[in-house]
Amino acid sequence: MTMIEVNDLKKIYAMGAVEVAALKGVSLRIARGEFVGIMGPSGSGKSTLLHQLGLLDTPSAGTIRLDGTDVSRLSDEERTKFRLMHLGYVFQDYALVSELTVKENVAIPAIMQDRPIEECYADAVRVLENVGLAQRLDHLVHELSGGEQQRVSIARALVNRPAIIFADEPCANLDTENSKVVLDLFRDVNRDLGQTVVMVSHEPWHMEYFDRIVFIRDGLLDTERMEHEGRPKRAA
Amino acid sequence: MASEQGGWRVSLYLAARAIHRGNRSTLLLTILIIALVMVLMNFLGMIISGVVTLYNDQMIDYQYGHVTIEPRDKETAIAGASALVKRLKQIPGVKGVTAHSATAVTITNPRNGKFQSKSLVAFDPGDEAEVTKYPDAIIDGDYLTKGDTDQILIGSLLAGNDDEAQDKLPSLGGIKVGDRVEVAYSNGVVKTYRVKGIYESLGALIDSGAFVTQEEMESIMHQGDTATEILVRGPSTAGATDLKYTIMEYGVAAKVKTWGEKGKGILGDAVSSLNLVKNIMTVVSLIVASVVVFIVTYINIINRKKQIGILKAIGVRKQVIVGSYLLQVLFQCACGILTGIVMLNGISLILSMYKIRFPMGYLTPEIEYGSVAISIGLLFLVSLFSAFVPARQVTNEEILDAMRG
Repeated sequence: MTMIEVNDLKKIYAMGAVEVAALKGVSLRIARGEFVGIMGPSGSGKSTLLHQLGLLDTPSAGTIRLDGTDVSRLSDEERTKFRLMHLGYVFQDYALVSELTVKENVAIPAIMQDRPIEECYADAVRVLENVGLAQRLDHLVHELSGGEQQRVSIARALVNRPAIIFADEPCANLDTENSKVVLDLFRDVNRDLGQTVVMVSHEPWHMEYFDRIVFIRDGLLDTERMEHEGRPKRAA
Repeated sequence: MASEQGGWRVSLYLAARAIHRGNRSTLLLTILIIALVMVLMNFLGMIISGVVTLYNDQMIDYQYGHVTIEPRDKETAIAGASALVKRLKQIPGVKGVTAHSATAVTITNPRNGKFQSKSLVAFDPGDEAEVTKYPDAIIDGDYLTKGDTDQILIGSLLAGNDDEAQDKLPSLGGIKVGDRVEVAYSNGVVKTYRVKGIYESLGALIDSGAFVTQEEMESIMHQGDTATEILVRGPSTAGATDLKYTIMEYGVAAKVKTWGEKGKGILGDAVSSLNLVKNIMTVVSLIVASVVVFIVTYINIINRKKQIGILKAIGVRKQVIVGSYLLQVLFQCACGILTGIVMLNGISLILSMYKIRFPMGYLTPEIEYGSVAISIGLLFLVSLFSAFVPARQVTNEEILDAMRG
């Protein structure tokens, strides 16, 4: 069953008088429960693609369906609600709120759903235990190592049990050991909870974690680029 | 609005933690600035209120009592004054009644030849003491007593100084208790009086007056049982209007005016001018508060731009984020206002203990709680607006732009 369906997605940035096409017409499908890696060289458009899929940015053209909803038609307010209810994010730089403790950072998306605070805290603690941070609940984020902060970020992404988790180079600032911990967590989430995970990465050794890899270069998936260049389409 | 999902609960949650764990110095500085603005907005009003009260008290205590009864139009005196005084004294709530008989005179200091044209007022010293505070205002010599003849009570400004440069108003050039002055009446009689006492109320108009007893005036002017005005003291300043209507109900056939009606022409323009200055200061203070809150909130928000982007990315609505900043500003504003009120009360207490001597007397500042309430409302409005604009501006930015900081 398709969880993400993208058709002819384009993103054009206006840089003064010059227009730069970051995505030139990307189409892809990702099935429910897939762990998909988006890979490609720097400037290929992989993060831009993730941002469009995660509703963090608005595409210039094309359609996106997430879990059966045509999100291209949603208003700004509806997109915010959709992000809260259906999506989870893990960013390269952890993106945690510095004035909140570990537990509060994780609980925020749950609290936004209007659930009782104690219930949100209980969920946050449970997820934090799962990522191995049970002993760091009341610490402020600056008191944690990079690896621990990224695990908090993953816990925050998981607390609402979203349909899809988007991760934008989550290991970029981590050493190999911490990267493995983080990637193992994503794999466990994907396998145990059946959540769809879409992760941008440029590390070749991450490939072993992915069910499928989408290669992107110059704003087009490899398969599409070959089509554009008149070469036979490679099987996805 | 924010109540839809997460709503004010999350705004409050985020605001409480931002205040608790945010930069203390910035918080305290903002609170202090708002407190000082609050003081600035109300200090002048406090002084003006003190001046008005001081002036009003002087009018009541020395010039008009709570209620003044004057001759009807086209009449120069109230006939049957003693009977009227008696009747007035029987009215419930009346604490004292005194009849004044005034006549134009020229007072001369024979020692130096200086003279002043004045209205000499005659009263019954006993009655007067129940209405005005001249007995308490004697700074040298004694107050008049019933039956005093050949003696006069003179205000300190009229008495003046030997050195003319020290006089605030034209004077007799340094009269002392025991000195003699010549009084030339309008009927041609010239009589020499011994100065029995000198009084000082610190009111310029009041302290340039002179008084004799009714008996003395009667012996010269033969005015009979008349009065040019009758002053009545009631139970309280606030009850002056009620007292006026009670007196009118008793069928007093003369013009009855409260001290406020008598004095508004004199003080009205001055108070209006001072209030204009006060209003200008209030507007300037509000602009200062508005700019300060705007700058502090703007810097605060710019510093947290990335966090705003993060919150938006994970699904926190713009209204909730804006709400959290508004709540933070409300907290800062409330603390600033409370601190300001404490400072105002402190200033008021200090100035009550160490009174400032104004030209018209020692001033006790009065906090006008009506004006304070208006200041509070205006400060809250201005602060909220000044916080809303930058908060809204940053939360309207694209998520990725905000997350880049």
